Amino acid sequence: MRIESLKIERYGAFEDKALHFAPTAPLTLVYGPNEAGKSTSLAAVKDFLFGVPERTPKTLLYGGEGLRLTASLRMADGRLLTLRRRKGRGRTLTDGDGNPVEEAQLARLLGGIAKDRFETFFALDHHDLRSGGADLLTAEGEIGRLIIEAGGGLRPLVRRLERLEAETDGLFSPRRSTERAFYKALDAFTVADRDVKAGVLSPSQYERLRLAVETAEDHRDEVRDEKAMAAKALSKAQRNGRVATPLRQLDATRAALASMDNLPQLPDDFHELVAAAKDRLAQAREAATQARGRAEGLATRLAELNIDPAWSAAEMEILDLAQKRAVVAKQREDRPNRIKELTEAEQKLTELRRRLGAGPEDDLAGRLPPRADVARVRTLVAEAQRREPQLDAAAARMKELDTELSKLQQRIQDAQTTARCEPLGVTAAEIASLPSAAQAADLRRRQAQAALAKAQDAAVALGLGDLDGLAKTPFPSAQRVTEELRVLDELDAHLRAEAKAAADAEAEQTLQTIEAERLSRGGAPATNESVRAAREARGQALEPLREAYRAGTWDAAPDARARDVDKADRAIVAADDLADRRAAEAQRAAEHTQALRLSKAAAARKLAALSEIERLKAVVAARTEALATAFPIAAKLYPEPRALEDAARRRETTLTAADDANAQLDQVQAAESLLSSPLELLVHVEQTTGIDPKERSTLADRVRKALAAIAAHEEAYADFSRDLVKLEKDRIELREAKERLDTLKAAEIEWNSAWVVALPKLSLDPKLSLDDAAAAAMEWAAAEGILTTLTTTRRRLNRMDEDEAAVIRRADALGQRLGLQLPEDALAKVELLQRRWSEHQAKLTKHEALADELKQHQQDATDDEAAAEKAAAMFEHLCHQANVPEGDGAALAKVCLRHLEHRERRAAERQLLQTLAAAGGGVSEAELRADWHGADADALRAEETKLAGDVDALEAAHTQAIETAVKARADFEEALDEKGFSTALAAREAAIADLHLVTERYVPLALARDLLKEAIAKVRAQQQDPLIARAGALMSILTQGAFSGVAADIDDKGQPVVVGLDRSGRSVPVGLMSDGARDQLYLSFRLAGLESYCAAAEPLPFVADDLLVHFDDARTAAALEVLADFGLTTQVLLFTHHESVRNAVEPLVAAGRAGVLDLSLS
Amino acid sequence: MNFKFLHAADLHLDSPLQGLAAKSAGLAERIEDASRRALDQLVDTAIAEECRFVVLAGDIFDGELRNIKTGLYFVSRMRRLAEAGVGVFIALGNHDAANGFMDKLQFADSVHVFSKRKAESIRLPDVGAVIHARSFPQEDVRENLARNYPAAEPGVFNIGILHTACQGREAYHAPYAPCSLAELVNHGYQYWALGHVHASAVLSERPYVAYPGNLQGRHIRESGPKGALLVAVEDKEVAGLEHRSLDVCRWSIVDIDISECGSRADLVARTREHLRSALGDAEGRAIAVRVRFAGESSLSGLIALDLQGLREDVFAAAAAVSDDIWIERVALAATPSIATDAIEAGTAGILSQEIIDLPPEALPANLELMLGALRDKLPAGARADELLERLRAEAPHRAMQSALSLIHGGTDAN
Repeated sequence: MRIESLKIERYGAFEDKALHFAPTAPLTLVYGPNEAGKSTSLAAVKDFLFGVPERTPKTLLYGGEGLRLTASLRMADGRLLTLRRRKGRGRTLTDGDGNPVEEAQLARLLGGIAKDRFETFFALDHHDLRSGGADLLTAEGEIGRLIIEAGGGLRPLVRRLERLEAETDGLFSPRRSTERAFYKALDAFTVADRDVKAGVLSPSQYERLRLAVETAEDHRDEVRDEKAMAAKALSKAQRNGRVATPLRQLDATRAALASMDNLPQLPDDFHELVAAAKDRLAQAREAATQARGRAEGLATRLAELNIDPAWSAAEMEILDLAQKRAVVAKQREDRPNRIKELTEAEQKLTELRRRLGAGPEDDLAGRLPPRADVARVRTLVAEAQRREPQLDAAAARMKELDTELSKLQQRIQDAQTTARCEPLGVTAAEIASLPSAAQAADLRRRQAQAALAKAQDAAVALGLGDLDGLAKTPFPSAQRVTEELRVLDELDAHLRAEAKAAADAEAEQTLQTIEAERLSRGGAPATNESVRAAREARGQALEPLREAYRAGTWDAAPDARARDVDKADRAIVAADDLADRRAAEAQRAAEHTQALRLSKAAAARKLAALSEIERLKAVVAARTEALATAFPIAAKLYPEPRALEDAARRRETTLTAADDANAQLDQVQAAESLLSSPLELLVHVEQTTGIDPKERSTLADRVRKALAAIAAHEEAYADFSRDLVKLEKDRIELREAKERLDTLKAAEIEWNSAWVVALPKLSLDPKLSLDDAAAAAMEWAAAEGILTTLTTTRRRLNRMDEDEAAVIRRADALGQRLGLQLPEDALAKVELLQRRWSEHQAKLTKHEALADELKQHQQDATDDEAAAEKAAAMFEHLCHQANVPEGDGAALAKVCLRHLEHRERRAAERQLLQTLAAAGGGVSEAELRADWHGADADALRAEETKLAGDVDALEAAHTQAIETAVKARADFEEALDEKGFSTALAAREAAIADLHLVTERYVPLALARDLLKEAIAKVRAQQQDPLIARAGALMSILTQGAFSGVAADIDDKGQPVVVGLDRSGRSVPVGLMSDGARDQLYLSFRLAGLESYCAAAEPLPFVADDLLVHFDDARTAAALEVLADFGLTTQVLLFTHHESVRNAVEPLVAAGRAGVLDLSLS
Repeated sequence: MNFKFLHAADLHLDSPLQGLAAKSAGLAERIEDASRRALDQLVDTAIAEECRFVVLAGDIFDGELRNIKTGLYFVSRMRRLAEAGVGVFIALGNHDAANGFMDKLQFADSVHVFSKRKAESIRLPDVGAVIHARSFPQEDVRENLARNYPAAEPGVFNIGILHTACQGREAYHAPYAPCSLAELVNHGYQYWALGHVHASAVLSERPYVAYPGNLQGRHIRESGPKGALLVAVEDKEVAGLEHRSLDVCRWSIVDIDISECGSRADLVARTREHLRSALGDAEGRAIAVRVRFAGESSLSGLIALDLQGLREDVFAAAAAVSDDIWIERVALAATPSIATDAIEAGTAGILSQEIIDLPPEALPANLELMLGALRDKLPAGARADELLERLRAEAPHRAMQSALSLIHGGTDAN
């Protein structure tokens, strides 16, 4: 796919820009200085292909509404496609006519490549190039990575794979590391599990702890009781010590009190009562005298005040008048406002009066129409105002439609006179592929025929005549001959082995025979058999002598006996010698026997080998004969088995090639027959569209013209169809517009009749204009409120006048009654009355106050006199109580003194009893006396000391028992303590959850990692050779021969890597290359990868953005050369803002291999 | 006479909630003793509803944990019921029989534990009811216990307590004390209080045969409301049966269809919505949630590449909704939208094809090696078998999807 042109509307800073990408030149240099819109153009290409993102800075200037990107695309098969892209959420693609185009259609042309893949594969800038080169260095030229990252444009995958490695490593590995998530969770599990186990309390533990608590607490209680009893005894002894002294003092005090028994019974405070009675008597007499004097002074001052009762009687009247005065004063202030209100209301009615022809005095209230009548007129006005523009619009639309209809009818009529009112019946797709298919079929036919001729030649060369002869002559298959050769080789190998075995056996036999001879030199060695024979001979020699000796028959002649004895002696000596030799020569004898045995065995083997050789020779002869009999001609032509095998193989290859060629021819024929139908369609198109047959040239030209004709016809037919639809639509609309107009007119008539009835009800002339009538209705609607206001205000003014007259009348009457002269003004009258009344009130208040005070002083004098009498009576009563004569103050004072002494003694007794109660702890005196029983102080102290020792000992024991019980209880409580147990359980579960989580994450990830690595290894194996070969060629051009190519190698870690080959073919590792060379290597692989892609799918444009920034002039020229070549494979768009690059491309432009799109000019 | 009782079973006291990784201490504290607090709520409900008695149909304890503290806690709560005048009738289940301390516990007089030797009947003349039951004598009871339950007594309300895997309800549960529904229905009792199956179910209404389900869900397979059945009896007939939720923490599965999400932000917003709704459904309880993403979307590739990021997003969404949400797991069942017929012609396409064409036996070999290494390291008690079995079934597919996502996952941010 090549983008021939791109029209950019309202995108980035472009409002309307057309870019034409040199359609005939392989390489297009898009040149633009800064701010010329280079980046915008680049972005527009991508956004056109893959859609405009929802959020994009390209809409900042114009907004997204009018954004359009229209491109003309030339497909590899020659088709031209025009598509337009807008910004939006769905269906953003249309064709040249604005008809929607499915996104999937473009996606198919893009071969399933998404935007991100396009950017990492088909787009490359200097930054990516440089970092790609740098990554090569990091990876030390690893081939798999180069193929994936540079060749496949899968840089993100490599990064992800690295991340994946890191993540899986961080999750789990059989090697323990506290950094790995798995082992962290495992450690947490171990800790929590330990805590859980520590928190578990078994029933037996529980029972043991419970018993310990019970025992300790029982013991504690026993000691406590014992201690309490001892403490009680001690307490009693201590109490005796404390109470002994107070008891003795109590006895003394009671004796003194008994001596004062003759004193009269007097109250405790007697002497205070006597003193108080004397004081009270003197004070009361003095107070009575002073009160009397004050009362007399006040009576004189009261008589001097003079009060008039008439004023008191007028109080209610004056207060009421004061209130009325306040009302009148307020009304006077309000009066100007009311008068202004009257004037304003009258003004509001002026317009209505004018419209009705009524004078200022006429009563409008009487003519006020009902509200419904007013509302009716207002509704009618509104209706009329709505209807008028609708009537105008309907009439105008009818007129417009009439014109449009007549134009449409004319166009349809014109179209019907040509053939374009019918569809053509042939689509572009049906014939588009015809030239390429025909060309392909022709090429394949020629190839097949060439192959057949080659096979024929081969048949002749084999000496079996033509292909037919070759096929028919009986000939062993190559496999059969090969198999025969294999068997013969095996037999030959056997034969050689057997011959060797026979020779070996013969040599062995000779060797062993010589050895046996050597061993038998110096006499046959004494063998076991010869020793046995000698011993038998000795036996036989001795037997006659033994018999004769036993029988006593020594009758033989002396020499005969001597002979027998000699014979026996010789036999004995021979046997003994032989036995001795046997012993001495045992080794030699054994070796001799062995040599004889081996010699015999070798002879046998030799015989067997010779016999096997004979058998094998017969087998070989039989097989050769059998083959010759089965294939006489072949055996004659190729007597040598190897030559026969070669011939058989060539024969088979030739026959296969001939079969393939024939099959190919059949297929071509079938393909050509399939072309007949498109050809007929082509002719049909030519005839229908009036293409002149005389102009027929090549099939490709014919098809191109026919395609153009189809496109033109389809367009015309589409216009015609649209017109038909439009005609029908317009007719319907015209009908509807007329109906609408009629309805509006009918409504108008109805309205007129209602209008003439409604206006007179408002006292208006029916001929009044719509606007005046609307205004009058509005005024009537307002008049009702204004008229009500007028009536109310007038009523209020009248009431003010009445109120003021009433005040004057009442004030004058009162003035006369009180004998007071009053001024004219109503308010002044009341004010004077109020002032006088206030003065009267002040005098009255003073009189009342003095009268109250006089009454109080008179009462005080009476009370004081009574008190003096009461005090004198009291004093007399006290003398009587003390049993002294009345009025004898000295006798009374003496009794008082004795009474005081008695009182103190009794107080001392009470104090002692209190001391005793405190020391005795509340025990009764009788009990204390019983416990004390008069003991002396020393005896009491001795008992106390002993008891205190007992208590101390028990106290210590009790403390110990408490501690034991507390500890037992604490142990029990601690064991029962729930704190932390649930937490530990939850923590253990959390650790298990973590372990599961890590494991579940780890396993699929690790598997995915392995899968990818395996897949990458396979892809490397498949692509390595062709990719390296092609990248090598590109590298050579890019480096102008500094590198003659690239090759695969194995580095010192055993890893397959890529190396450069220098001019002399020596390998240069990636690590030793310059940065520039590595960039070039990366570029070579990317271009090689893209070439491979373009061979398999619709080629997509390669977009290079300022790729040559780091290249010097020579490298730039070489790179442009390579890119121009690559442009023959697919469109290359090289964006740059460097003038040097623009200059460098000029030679290529001159040669027609590149074009320049200068953004600053277009 | 009219009365009410509460029917509960499968308390599994002190059995921890499974599958929850550590979270904030506050939430952990609230739910770490969930089973005990659920028991507290059971006791409160019985008292508040003025129940005459509570029926516990087995598996009060979890069996695996031999900690007497659990028993003492149970005893203390039974004492509360006794003090409030509420009786308790307990039939022991398989887990109780496996427990070491059950026999040593001392209950108040108003708590009755049924005999292990034979079915017995307890009469309650004050309310006109009789309760029949038998405890499990040992863990593995394969005989049909119901068959030997006493006949129904006439003129009273008969209740049968039975810990059983009733026919048709055995899934996930050991087939102990099996019986058939027909057999129970025909026995003549007015109410069968069953236990053992952890999902609440009313198997029959004439007469009532019901499982209350367990009191507190313990893992994601026990999701939804958990509690007890409140039964009202009037004139010797069941007049009302109501399931009362008594759980402290509720398990919930939230399914989110990512095919409706246009962006990562959409997905997070949708997750938040779902979590809010799940929390609302839990009536003020804390919830433990498994969030499952499913559906086909262009997002799925990116998500698969960054599952950790997705988890963090889900955790953040949960935190934004409430502190009461515990994410148990984020599961991804989404598939990348790669159709095999749309595979590109370049290296990416060839790589994908290699992965798709991989022989089915190739992965398991690798997998077994990994699982073996993991099995060696996983401690006893970590439910390794269950985990590894699941991985054996699921991991190959997930690995293949992940590998494809790595190839087609779009452009990374860095």
